[in-house]
Amino acid sequence: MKQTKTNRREALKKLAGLAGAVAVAPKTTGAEEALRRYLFKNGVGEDYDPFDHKWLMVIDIERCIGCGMCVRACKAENEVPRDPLHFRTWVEQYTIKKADVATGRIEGETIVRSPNGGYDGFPPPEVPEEEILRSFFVPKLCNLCHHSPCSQVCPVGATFDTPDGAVLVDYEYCMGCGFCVQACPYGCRYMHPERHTADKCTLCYHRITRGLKPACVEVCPTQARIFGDLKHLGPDDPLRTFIETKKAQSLKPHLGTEPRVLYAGLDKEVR
Amino acid sequence: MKVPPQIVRLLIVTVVLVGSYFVAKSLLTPPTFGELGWYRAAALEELAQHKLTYAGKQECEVCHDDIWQMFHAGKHQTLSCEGCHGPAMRHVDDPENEHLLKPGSDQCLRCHQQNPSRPDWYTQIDPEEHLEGECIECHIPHNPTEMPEEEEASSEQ
Ligand code: HEC
Ligand code: HEC
Ligand code: HEC
Ligand code: HEC
Repeated sequence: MKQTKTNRREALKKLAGLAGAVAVAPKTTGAEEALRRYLFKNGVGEDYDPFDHKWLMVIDIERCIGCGMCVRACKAENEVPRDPLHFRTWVEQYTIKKADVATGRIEGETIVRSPNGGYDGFPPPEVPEEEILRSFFVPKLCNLCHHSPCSQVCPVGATFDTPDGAVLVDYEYCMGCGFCVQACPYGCRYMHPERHTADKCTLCYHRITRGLKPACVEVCPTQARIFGDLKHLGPDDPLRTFIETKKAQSLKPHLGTEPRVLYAGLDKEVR
Repeated sequence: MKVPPQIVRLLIVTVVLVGSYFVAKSLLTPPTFGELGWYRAAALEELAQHKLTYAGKQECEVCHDDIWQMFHAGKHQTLSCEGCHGPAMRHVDDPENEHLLKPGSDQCLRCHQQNPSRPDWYTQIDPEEHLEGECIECHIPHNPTEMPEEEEASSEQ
């Protein structure tokens, strides 16, 4: 996807260059500029240029306390159905048991649960404390794939990667075939029961275009979720610190989707 | 040279097919499709218009600067006001009529209850062993390491 876009841009630049040789010189830069800018009005009526941003969310598992505030905020902000089946973001509780010495294994069984997606917080694991080898929480959301399978399978172009780094669904144009729900290897999409379209994390597009944080990041008490703009990283930006100091990994790297959402402190058991 | 009739017919069919393709395409392609990529560029603006439910922490400072000051001196400074009080956009627009929740002890425990899944650096308590009573009787929620003054604690609720 990315590759074709740049190629097209290169080609257009060359064409523009040719035209420039014939016409007046300033037109070349004008054409280039037009390719890089696309202004639209954000929720408060200001101009917003998606080519001027590259939004990203990363997750520090060591900081997640499993309070589930993010799940709540996401549902309230984005009118996600309150039932335990539909989530744009949710939290999973992983519990890895100690191994029985007789088996010769290092680790025992891995138990993953997510009661109501973490909406009501988490009780302690059902496994007695002395049997637990390690236990932790993993927040999940759209992985913002570089090569997003969901937008590749959409037959009508109703789901797409935006220039500023989100993957969105066009609710007016989506016909509800559900291919993208099947295609997402991370289970991050669902069919909206009232709207009858696909739905997913938009990185709170209506918030980030206004300069606000996504709702889940806003309410996270420990900065387990870090959000920022790669094109405008300040010197002490938490996103910069994360990228430069943490050893982070993506989920299911073998699929070649190249998720942009990275996890620090990711356990090998997490899928 | 005379063009054979079957070629003429074929040409007509081709022209009709190609023509109807372009007519159908222009009718079926929605406006702004393809301006940015294989999608309707106008969808970006439409999605950006969605209404806000969470106002964002920075909104609270203007009217609640006393709490704001205390809050940012304490251990809860990384928390969001709206995490405890719930979405506040309507309250910001009309504070006299749109009231917010005052969270109870269950909300404190949602974050502080002892849980082996929680990281070790994080402060947790066992509610059975911790001192009895409502949490805010002994902890100011906006600066939790401080004790509320006596009369203040009893006048609330
Ligand atoms: C840990 C959860 C928590 C957070 C975070 C929090 N509050 Fe509160 N807040 C409470 C509780 C609990 C009460 C009720 C206190 C009482 O009844 O004495 C309260 C009461 C209030 C009140 C009413 C005060 C009064 O005297 O009646 C205001 C105003 C308020 N909070 C504003 C804020 C603002 C602004 C922020 C963000 C800077 C914030 N709160 C963050 C828990 C919280
Ligand atoms: C425009 C000014 C204004 C802003 C902005 C504002 N508040 Fe208030 N808030 C008030 C007023 C006025 C009251 C007292 C309402 C009353 O007692 O009738 C109040 C009361 C409260 C209370 C007590 C419960 C209630 O609803 O009466 C809480 C909690 C609270 N505010 C939290 C917040 C939070 C959190 C924010 C930030 C998102 C915020 N406020 C932003 C003016 C504001
Ligand atoms: C959204 C999650 C959240 C909620 C709700 C919450 N806290 Fe906290 N609390 C935190 C975090 C995060 C810290 C700072 C990290 C730490 O100190 O371990 C903290 C710190 C504290 C501390 C200081 C611990 C220390 O370091 O000595 C106390 C005391 C405390 N909270 C009490 C309360 C009380 C009482 C309530 C209910 C009014 C409450 N908390 C609600 C997340 C929360
Ligand atoms: C009767 C008064 C009282 C009540 C009620 C109370 N606490 Fe405390 N709490 C204290 C005192 C005093 C301390 C500091 C001494 C200590 O570390 O035990 C404390 C410490 C804490 C700490 C920090 C523990 C640590 O290891 O540093 C947390 C977190 C906390 N309380 C949360 C709560 C929560 C949540 C509730 C409500 C379920 C609550 N408290 C109810 C008096 C109280």
